Amino acid sequence: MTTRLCVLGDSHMAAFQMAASGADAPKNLDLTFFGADQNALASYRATNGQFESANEDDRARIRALVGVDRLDLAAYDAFLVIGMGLSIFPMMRLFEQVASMEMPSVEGAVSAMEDGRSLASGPFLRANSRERLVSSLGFRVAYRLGQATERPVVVLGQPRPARRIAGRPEFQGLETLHAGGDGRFVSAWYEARLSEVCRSAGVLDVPQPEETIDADLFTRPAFLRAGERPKPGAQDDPFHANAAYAKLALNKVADALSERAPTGA
Amino acid sequence: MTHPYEKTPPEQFWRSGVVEADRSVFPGLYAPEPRLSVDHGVAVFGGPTVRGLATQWRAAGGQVIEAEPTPTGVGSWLADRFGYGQYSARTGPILTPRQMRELIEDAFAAEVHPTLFGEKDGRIYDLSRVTVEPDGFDRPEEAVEMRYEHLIKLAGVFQVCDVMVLSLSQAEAWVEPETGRCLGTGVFAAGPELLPEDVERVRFSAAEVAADLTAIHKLLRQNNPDVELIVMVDPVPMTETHLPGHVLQANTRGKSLLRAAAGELAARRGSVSYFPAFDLATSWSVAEGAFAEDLVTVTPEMAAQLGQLFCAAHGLTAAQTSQASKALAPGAEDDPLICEEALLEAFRS
Repeated sequence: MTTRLCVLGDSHMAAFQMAASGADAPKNLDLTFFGADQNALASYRATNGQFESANEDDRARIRALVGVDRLDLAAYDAFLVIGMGLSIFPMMRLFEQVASMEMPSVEGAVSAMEDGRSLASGPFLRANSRERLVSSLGFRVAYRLGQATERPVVVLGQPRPARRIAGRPEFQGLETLHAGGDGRFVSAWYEARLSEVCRSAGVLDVPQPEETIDADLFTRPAFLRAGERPKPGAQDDPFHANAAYAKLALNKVADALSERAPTGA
Repeated sequence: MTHPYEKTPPEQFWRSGVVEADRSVFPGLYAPEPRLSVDHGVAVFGGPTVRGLATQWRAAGGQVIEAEPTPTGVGSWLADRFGYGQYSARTGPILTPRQMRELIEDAFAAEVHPTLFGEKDGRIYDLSRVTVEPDGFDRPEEAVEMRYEHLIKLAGVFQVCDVMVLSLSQAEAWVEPETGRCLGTGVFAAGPELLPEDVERVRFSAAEVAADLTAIHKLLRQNNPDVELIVMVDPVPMTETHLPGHVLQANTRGKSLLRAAAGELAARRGSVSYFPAFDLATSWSVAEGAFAEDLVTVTPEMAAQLGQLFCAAHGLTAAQTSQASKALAPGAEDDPLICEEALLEAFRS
């Protein structure tokens, strides 16, 4: 049986479009895409079974990319929300400022201060991590859909970046966390908090496929759009996944949907 | 012979100083020496009123030291719940001179007292500042290390601040018998089972209040010889007393002792001044009530007036402040051009 899956997202939908149009496209998923880059879905709300926006600019951007600017929610068996700020980056921003006693690199107050961080309590770190995730557009879209439909809504954060991104000053935090031995902690923390917020919103979450992850905090080049390095003359893209990644992720999504599907009486 | 009142300034007469004065500014009510400037590092500790002053001092361009600043990307509600951005460190409210004195002593000694932690439902609470970790800590090591870090950072504040503004509220405290240390506020709210065995409710005497205030000043100056101290009595009343007698009397007693001790210290020491927040908010001088209907919270108008009085006396203009939520840190890590290119490549191919 084919599942009609509506994929909503930003530029991180691109990999899934590539996977859907490739020769080995998933057979059991009929994909429809809806979204555009950046925050085009921010103004969308679910009303009377329709997912629509009063903002003409947002509608136009989405229409220009996918041909329609409104969704009939009843036309799909499930929804997949991708990216839109749901990523490991907010955790990097948090843990480059503060430390947890659970981190392998932290022995106590002194070692944290030597690393230029303050200790923060588990309750605070969990609350702030959830706050950062729920403030993302990805979570808000998933929440709105979850409130409007009985059909399953699945959330997939954007892939971790390529490791070479850590050379950029604004992403140095990832390499610092990795070098300090805290990569596994931060990665697991991110997945756990994302699961928590999704559960609280009544939506499913699918973690990044294990085989695509490089050193906990990064994505292996083979699963990224730019591969090992940017093409000659092209701007580097260390953020976006490729079709191989999307294929693995879609398998995970299909698994999550089949686990959720009601069993026969 | 001239009349002894001939050269007396107008603020010394009730009629010219209060009845006929411009009570929005109260000329002569607060004339501190020396005056603060925007370059001074100001530390704030104590009760709720000093938080309002700090907010207005910041808005007017002044610096308030934050030894444990709110991490970026934390919303204002969450920051407040965990005691970030309230005082110069995450102390929570400090109500008595004794508690402040003990905090300074512990900070300079970097001494964590094991008996000042409590456990409830598997959670660990720092009984000196329950309000800043209302859900408790996950495990004892976390509570102890965070207390230790807190003390180290507090010692730094005490050593580098140019001025400490201290707002004191009460002369009663719960005292843990083994250490003799005061417990912080909020222990009851978190659960009476957190109170240590044989905990004692103590009402400090006038001599003790005065001695504690003097000790605070001395300890600070020993470690930071140029520091100035501005003391105020917080107008916010005590909301309960656990000793016999009416809470109204207990409140008046406590405020009176604090007011007298603060005034005495300011009169004796040139590096101490007294800010008359209590005098202004709780006297006949306020035509409109200074408190909200709950008779606990100072009205926004009174809070603004206190801020204006404080800032103006130090040469700054108090600005209108807003409690609008801090924006969360931007989440867009992607380059917009790369994002657009990725989409176009996929959808146009």
